This record gives sequence, C-alpha cells and structure tokens, in this order.
Amino acid sequence: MLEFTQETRGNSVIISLKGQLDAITAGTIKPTIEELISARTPYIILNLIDLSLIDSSGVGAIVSLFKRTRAQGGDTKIAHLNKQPREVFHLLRLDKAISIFDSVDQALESIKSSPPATE
Amino acid sequence: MSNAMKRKRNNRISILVPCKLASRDIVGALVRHICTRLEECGEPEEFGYQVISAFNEAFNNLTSHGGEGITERDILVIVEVTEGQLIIELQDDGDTFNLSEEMPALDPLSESGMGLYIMRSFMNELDYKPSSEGRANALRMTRDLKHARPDESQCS
Repeated sequence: MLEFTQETRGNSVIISLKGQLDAITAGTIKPTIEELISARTPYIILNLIDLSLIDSSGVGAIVSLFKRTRAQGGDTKIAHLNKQPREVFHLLRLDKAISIFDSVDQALESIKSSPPATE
Repeated sequence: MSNAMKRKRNNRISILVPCKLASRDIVGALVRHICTRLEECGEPEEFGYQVISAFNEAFNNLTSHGGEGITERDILVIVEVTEGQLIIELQDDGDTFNLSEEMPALDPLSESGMGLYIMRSFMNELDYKPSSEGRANALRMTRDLKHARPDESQCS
C-alpha cells in the first residue's frame, strides 16, 4: 500500500511517500507525476521518511521522474533515505546519481543555492 | 545419542498462494519474520532488507510470466533455514524464462531490468530449473548465514 501527499514550497513540490513503492503501487503515483511534469514543476523532492519498501519497479518510477525533471532543466532530490530503500539505492548506486539529503529542509536549501531551472 | 538424533533439524516452512502480486506481501511478511529472527541470532541489520528485496523481485518475476491458458496459478514458496543458509524456493507452473548466469551490467539510471541484479547481489546463489517430467519450475535463492544457528536457545 502506498499513500502520498504533496506540498508546494516556492518552486519545489515535496511528495511525501508512506508505505511501499513497488510493482503493486508504482502505478498509483503516476498520474501525480504526469501532472507535475506537464506543469513543468522545476524541482521535486521525494520525502521517503515513511517509505518502508521499494522494489525495482519503484526505483524505475523514481529514475523516470529524475530523468524527466532533469530534461526540463530541473531536478528530483531525495530526502530521508532509510532502511530497505537505502540498501537498494546503495546497491544500484542511485545515491551517486541522485542527490540525497538527510532532511527536506536540506534538500530545499540546496535548491535555493542552485541556478534557476531553464524554461 | 545417535548421530541422527544429534543432528539439528532444519526449519522449513511451505506456503501456497495465488500467483498474484497481492500475494507477495503475505509471504513477504513470513520471510521478513524469519529474517528478523535470524538478525536476533546475529545476522546484520541489513540482512532482512536484502533478503526481502531479493524475494520481492523473484516473486514479481514469477507473476509476470503468466502461463498461457492457465487461468489460475499458484506459487509454492518454501523457506528453509539450515545451520548455514537461508534458502527460499519459489515453484510455479507458469511460462519458463531464461535466468542469465551472468550478473547484468549495472546502469544506475535504468528504468527496468534491475530485478535480476538485486537478486544476484543480495543472495549468494541463484538457480532456476524449468519444469520437466511433471515437476514445476523452481527458482531457488540461497543466502549464507554468518552467525545464526536456527535453534540456538540464546538468541534473544
């Protein structure tokens, strides 16, 4: 089961995920992602503090989001990577490709110091 | 006491579930519980995270290979703890698939195909036997135990 909420702060949208992001649930977040990409949201922060499990389908959804925001001149960042998701990210070396922060505030701070996203 | 009596019994559990993704978490809870117990007996904290990750990928893989013409399939999951290994075997009657012997190349920004990489990385052995002579397909994953003994009474 996956629950998620979204909150806008400046030019960033924070999506907080709770539960599992996997082959069963990855499809449920797709419409939200499509909406954010269509709206050319420059920065998306995935708050994974309550994410208990991820599988390769969930990773695929995050990688897709990362690539699409980057293609639009923005970025996707991760906050609070813990436990099983951290193991998977580390194994797949996603922690080298995607910026990961200990908190949402730190992720937001990094965006403030980043150049603005291109249109 | 005879050698047979001295020999420690293996712990083995079998569970038959419908071949649906929704079944995965039911069996996953059992696998997670066994991993927690093994962690209490000395396996590292990441042990359970790694094993459950491999199990989920294996289960996903089987559910995605639906047998043509077979409307209702089951997956038999056998979890066994020996003195030195945790063995998880998944059996089904679905379509067979080729399990590459080689570790797939890692592309961190790949959006698919990482399941096999996760299984091979987090488990010590991976073996797939396609069905033959009336036997089901069997995907067997083995993880070596560093510290645990399943029937040690001193485990917390």
